[in-house]
Amino acid sequence: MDSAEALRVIRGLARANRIWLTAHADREAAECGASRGHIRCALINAKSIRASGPGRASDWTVAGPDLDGDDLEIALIIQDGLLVITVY
Amino acid sequence: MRTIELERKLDERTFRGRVPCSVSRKRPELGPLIDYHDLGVFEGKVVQSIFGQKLLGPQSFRFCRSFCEMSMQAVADLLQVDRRTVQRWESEESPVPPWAMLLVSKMADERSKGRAVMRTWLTELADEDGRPTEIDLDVA
Repeated sequence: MDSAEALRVIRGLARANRIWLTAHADREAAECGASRGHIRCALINAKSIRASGPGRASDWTVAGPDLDGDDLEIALIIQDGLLVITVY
Repeated sequence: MRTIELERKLDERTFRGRVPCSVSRKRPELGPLIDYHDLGVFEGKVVQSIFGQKLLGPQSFRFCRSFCEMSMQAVADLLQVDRRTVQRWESEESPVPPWAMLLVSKMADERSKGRAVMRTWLTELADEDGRPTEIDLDVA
């Protein structure tokens, strides 16, 4: 899957609420005050994407505006029709 | 069923709850995974607690707002205040007024229960502002 295709898939899965989080990602989100509303908004409106690179816990890193228009960067895996968010 | 404890710290209060979790067979190294839906149920319990206990504070306000998936501008429009006013409330530059906290926590509480009475009512009130205040009358 190339990055353009991955971005399209991520937006679609986020719109369908097919999102899971690791416990680590949930803790990070809570610490920086990013509730699920901000996360979903950033994923649906993700503007940029890059491969996370070898040795990382994620396959892709996307950035998009949260509910307030601030860019939120999210690392994730696309697996079995689900987004698994690993890091903020 | 496996569960995991989630925690949110808002305005020096700590909310904890246990939600179901799963471990991926393909990527067990990721550890326990939390479904977005279950996270929503947990956050719903948090906003119900904020509303039920009439809690007041900038982080609680922001949490309730984002639970409603509303931007600062959207909530400012509904409450008929400036966006910067909401920003000042959330950044603790000025205290969140109890009336604003009550309205936003009520909206969040209703959303957690699948209702939107307060939001609909506030939207209708905000729309009233755009209506003409004068009516031209022709007399023949």
